[in-house]
Amino acid sequence: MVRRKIFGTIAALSALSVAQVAQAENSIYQGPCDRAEQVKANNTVDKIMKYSTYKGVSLHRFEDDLAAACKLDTAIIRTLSLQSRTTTQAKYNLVRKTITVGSQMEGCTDLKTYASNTIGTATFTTEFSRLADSCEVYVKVAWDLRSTTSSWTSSFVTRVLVLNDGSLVMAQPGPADGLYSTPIAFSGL
Amino acid sequence: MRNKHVIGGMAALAALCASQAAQANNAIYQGECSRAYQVKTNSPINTLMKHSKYKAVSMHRFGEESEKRCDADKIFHWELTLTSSTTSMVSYSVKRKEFYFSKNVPTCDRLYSLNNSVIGTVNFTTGVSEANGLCEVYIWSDWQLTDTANANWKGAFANRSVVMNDGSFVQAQPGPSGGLFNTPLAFSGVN
Repeated sequence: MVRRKIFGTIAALSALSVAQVAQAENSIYQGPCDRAEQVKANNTVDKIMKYSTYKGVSLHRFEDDLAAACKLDTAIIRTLSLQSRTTTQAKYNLVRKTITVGSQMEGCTDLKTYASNTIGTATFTTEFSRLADSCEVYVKVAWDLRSTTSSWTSSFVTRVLVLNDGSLVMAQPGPADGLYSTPIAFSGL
Repeated sequence: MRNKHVIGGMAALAALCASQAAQANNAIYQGECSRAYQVKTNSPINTLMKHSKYKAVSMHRFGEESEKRCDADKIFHWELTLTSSTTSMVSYSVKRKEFYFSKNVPTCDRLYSLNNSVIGTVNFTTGVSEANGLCEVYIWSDWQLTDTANANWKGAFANRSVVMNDGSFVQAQPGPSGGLFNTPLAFSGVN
């Protein structure tokens, strides 16, 4: 596998055999390990996460009767506010808001805003890992969420892509069969 | 988003000088030119844009008076439907609907849909360009939009798209500073 200087996502385009479709590994660098170490050292997370506020939104089709009957999409709006930032970690407070959008069907509520009851933190770090024949550098975010109205909590980790304008994107694979979750795309304010 | 020809930027993860923060070129490959052309040949656009329908939502602050008064962000709901697909170009029809989402200010505490509907087309291709002695392969999207409620308004912009590892794709929409912004467009295939 040839692996060198593959950016912003995209990975195994380099390893493409004929007829193989590009698949991204969502890393910011993949290649020789000495170079990867240099990339990590030069890209501390405080340089990547340079804004004190980010806003982002994603679109979802959940598996519930109302969504199915009314073909409703749900938009989740997230605001991240800086809590602390060092060269090794950038931590943000999260507030989330949910609305339904999209349907104009008779008998269906088109637009509805739900009270914000999910809060938490998002902690960003720059990571280095060894692969079979190379090394990669990527940005990781650890989410810790909780409900303000119930005992619900959730913790999960995703990789983050940094686009060329400093905005952030993270994939969140969703279920098939007409259900989906778009990537979360954040802009720095 | 209402500006014309916002061109995908070029930053330089490629360059990666010491002390330089990671900035993606939003390219899908960057390296030796012979390899770049091989990558392009092996990645026809119809294998990258493999869904017949994509959906996305994006958030914006344009600086309009109503936004300031209500501290309101605008939300665009996007839907792409496949119209043609070849190895060199994939085309979709575009439908875009706009929503205001206002903060909890008494007279602005509502969510509503605008009457207009933006429609148009977007064409996706793959391209190769040379930069700093290397070649890069990228996905290019060219958007042509009109407004069904305003015959005089036409939107046109072109940008690089980045395909993620789950088949979704995103593109940055550089926005103005000073509290105004356009979040990236992040599309998922929905069938």
